[in-house]
Amino acid sequence: MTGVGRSRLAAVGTVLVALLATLGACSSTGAASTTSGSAAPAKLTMWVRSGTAKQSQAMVDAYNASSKNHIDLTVIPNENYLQKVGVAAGSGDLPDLLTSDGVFTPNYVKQGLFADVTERLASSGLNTKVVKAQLDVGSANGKNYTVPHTVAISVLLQNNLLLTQAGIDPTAKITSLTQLADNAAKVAKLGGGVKGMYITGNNGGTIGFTMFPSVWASGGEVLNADGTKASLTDPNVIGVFKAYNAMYKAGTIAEASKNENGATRDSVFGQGTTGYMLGASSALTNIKESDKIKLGVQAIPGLTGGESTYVGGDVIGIAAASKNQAAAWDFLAWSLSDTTQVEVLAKAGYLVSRPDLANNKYSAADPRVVLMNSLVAKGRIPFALKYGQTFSDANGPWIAAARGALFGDDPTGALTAAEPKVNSSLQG
Amino acid sequence: MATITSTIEPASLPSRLRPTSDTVSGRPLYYVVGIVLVILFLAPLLWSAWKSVTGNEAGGSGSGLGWDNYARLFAFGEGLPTYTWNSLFVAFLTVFGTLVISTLAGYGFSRFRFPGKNVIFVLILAILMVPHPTILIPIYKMFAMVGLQNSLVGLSLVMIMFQLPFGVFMMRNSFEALPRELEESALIDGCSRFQAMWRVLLRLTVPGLVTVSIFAFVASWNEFMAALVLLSSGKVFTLPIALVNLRSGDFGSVDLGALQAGVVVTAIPCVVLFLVLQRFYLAGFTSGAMKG
Amino acid sequence: MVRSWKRSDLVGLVYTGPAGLVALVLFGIPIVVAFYMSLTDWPLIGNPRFVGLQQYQAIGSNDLLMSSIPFTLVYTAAATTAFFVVALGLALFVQDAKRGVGLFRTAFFLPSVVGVTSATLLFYAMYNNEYGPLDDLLRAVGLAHGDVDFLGTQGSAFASTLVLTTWRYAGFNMLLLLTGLQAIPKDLYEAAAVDGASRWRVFTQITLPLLRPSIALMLILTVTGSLLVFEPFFVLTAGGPDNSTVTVVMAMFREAFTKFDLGAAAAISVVILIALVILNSLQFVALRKED
Repeated sequence: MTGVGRSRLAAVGTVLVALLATLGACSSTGAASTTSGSAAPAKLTMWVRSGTAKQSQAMVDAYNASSKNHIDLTVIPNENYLQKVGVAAGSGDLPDLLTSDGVFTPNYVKQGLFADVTERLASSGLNTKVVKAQLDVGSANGKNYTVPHTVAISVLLQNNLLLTQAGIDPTAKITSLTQLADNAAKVAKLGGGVKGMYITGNNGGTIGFTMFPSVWASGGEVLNADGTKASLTDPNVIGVFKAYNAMYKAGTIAEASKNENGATRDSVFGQGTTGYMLGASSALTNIKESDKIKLGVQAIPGLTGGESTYVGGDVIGIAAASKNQAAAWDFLAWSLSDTTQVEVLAKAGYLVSRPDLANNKYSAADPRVVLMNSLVAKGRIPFALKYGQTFSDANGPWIAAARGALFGDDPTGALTAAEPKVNSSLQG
Repeated sequence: MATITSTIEPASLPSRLRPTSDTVSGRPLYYVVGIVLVILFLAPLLWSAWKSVTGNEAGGSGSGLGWDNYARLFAFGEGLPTYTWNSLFVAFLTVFGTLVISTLAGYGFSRFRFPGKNVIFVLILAILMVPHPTILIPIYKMFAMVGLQNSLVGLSLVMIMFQLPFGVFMMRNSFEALPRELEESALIDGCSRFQAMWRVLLRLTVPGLVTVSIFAFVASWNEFMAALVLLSSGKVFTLPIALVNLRSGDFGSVDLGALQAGVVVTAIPCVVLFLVLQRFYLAGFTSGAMKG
Repeated sequence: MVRSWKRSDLVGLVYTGPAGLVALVLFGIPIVVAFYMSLTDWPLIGNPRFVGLQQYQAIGSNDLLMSSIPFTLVYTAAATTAFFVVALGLALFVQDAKRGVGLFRTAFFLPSVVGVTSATLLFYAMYNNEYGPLDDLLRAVGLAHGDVDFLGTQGSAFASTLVLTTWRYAGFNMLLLLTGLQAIPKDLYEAAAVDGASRWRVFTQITLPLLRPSIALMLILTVTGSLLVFEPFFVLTAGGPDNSTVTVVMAMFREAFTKFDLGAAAAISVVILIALVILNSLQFVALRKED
């Protein structure tokens, strides 16, 4: 007995010591082997989060069908992507190809997860053709670490059926938040449970995604260039939140918006009882049209004019530790080529990562897609290392400020009071 | 199993004499209360099932029924059969491992005094007391050293570990409820300790074994966090990961149709298992069997 | 009962060995690693740096965590009471084999087979007045007037979450207590019936005392599980409104996966573990003493 017990203990002890010894050596920034063996077929692994997986899957399927290389795509739930990447990076288990939500990319780049693709990108000539906002988030010190992969943008969605009922021409462009408020109020007057507008009022990330564009369209800024200071007292920021606050107070925005964290957003709008909704371009494929809803898309307007959008979607890079750098680049170059962008993405109704291909034979069939493709080029991605824990965090400083500004009695006061907290989070 | 079922004879149980039965049972009131409770407990699930075929995502034209949610579920990623098989594999391995280890330990804790008894018991119970993500990352690193990462067997081992506090405690309670005279007479008859447990006591702890099995099955069948941290290739993903992948979209959006269909599909094996096993909960089972 | 170790007693180690080994390797070692993590500044991505007890010292100044402690304790008290009352009632209701009881048991247990996150999202959808039927139903039966805000205030968010968790866990605990009820020898009930004891006397003198081991197990599971509650509040309220429904584990989770500070999260976990072991030991002693 005791002999067995002792050897067990010894075995456990050995494992423990070995484990602790390796803990310090978990950095993933191993020297990248730069084998240019593009001759031999390679097996690549790739991770993507669930929110953008459909586009990635379409591309990977097409690539596997046409290339001698093979990509194994693994989809990981949105909410757990950071966690999964973090655990894998700590153990050197990252896939060859790693996609990343735009706003989290600066942090990954800083931690050295991605290989430098500056030269490959420049020699391909793609660097001047792809979505600039997405290229910028994956750049540091003049070097490129990621390229655009999938595009989703924030838009204003509308139910054309309700608009027509309310006497509004669904094809007329909305040019200002004031006009949006007027139109939504008209829809709300239809009665019978119909609401003018729906927003995602309990999710800091989505509030930024859908309302920052109005600030930009009005000529304002939310963040400084290096993402260390927020300007919540910018008159444009205050103006935008005051406009939505007035819509809420007037009863134009559905009360349920206040508790909406995004989970029920598309389902609520899909019921066809709401005139307008701030949402993502992906709603166009998520929401099915029926006899209660016909979907229209508008650019998110500024206070008195202009239009803008927040570019979501993913960028993609080659893991620094990948042993298949050349094959991995082969996929990246292929994914951004004219043929792939048009024949794979545009054909399936997805937005393209190449603004020069915005007008293609497939998008032309749907004016909504043409509009969204044209918006991508004007779109922006806020740049800040601490973006997630400042703006997306459900318990962070931004959500409290934004909710106060949207639903409280003093929008200006809420934003003014929150600015120092937001700044300290950005600098923390 | 045959010997177990043969000891159960509902007719032999004097339900007339049980405290609840002689006042409520047989009266309409019992069933009225029962049905109201059933409605309260089932309503959210029935609503989910209904919405899964009628909601916007279901694709029914007009107000008709649509099966799009189930079609999407079936075809998603590696396909529903692959994920279901992976989940069933983990669930059965977990149930088997939990039953064996918990029964042995439950018997050990209920019948013996030995050095370190309290330490081991507290160590096992302490498994309950730590947020799972805290230990999953170290476990992942350990598994990576021995090649158990990205493995359904590795995941099952972790699930068995998570089930231990409940399983051991439950089985300890079950054995403690049995009088020591039972096995002592078996020992006098020449049985070994293990034979006494295996042949005499085990069949008397069936309600405990059933509860441990059901809990282990449901927990491992539904486990999301451990599966996600320990598995990293789509081919070995379990059903819960696939379902979350299918439903969770951009900027917090959730495909409620996929959620509702997923709730229905994942509940089915658990319902079947429970319907089969719930018959082993018979009042007075233990003492009735003891006399027989 | 004091005696020295006999050979036959040491056999107990053989029986409990497999469980002990699994707990030691898959739980004990990871906990030691987690403790080591708690002594470092360990970013989710990047290299750890040893900082001694700094993470523990920082716990006191973590306002979100500090404010989550009283909230979690209140939730635990409410949830434990609710689960116990409902589960015991259900267990007594379905303890006898009679026509239809299998369906009752199945219906009450069914919510427990739905994943916690799925169940929470389901309730989130039901609580949405634009989508879910709940507000209309409550108005129709006269339990509510005007707009019903299920998640808009701390009180309503708390109550809405408690309804969800009671629905989700009652059947689970019912089964646990039902297992204990099966172990009560029926001769005791027979004797009581012969003596003409009242139902209440039978319940308090026979059922409750003999159910104590099962109640102990249920309390340990429920108190521990409620103190570690995460998904229901994380999904349903996200800690809102205004951080009024943040639980301890949510505050821990935020350190790890929002702020990428695994060291701080590990330190919080170690403190939680120590607190829970002490609390459960007290609970255990209290429940045993009365034997």
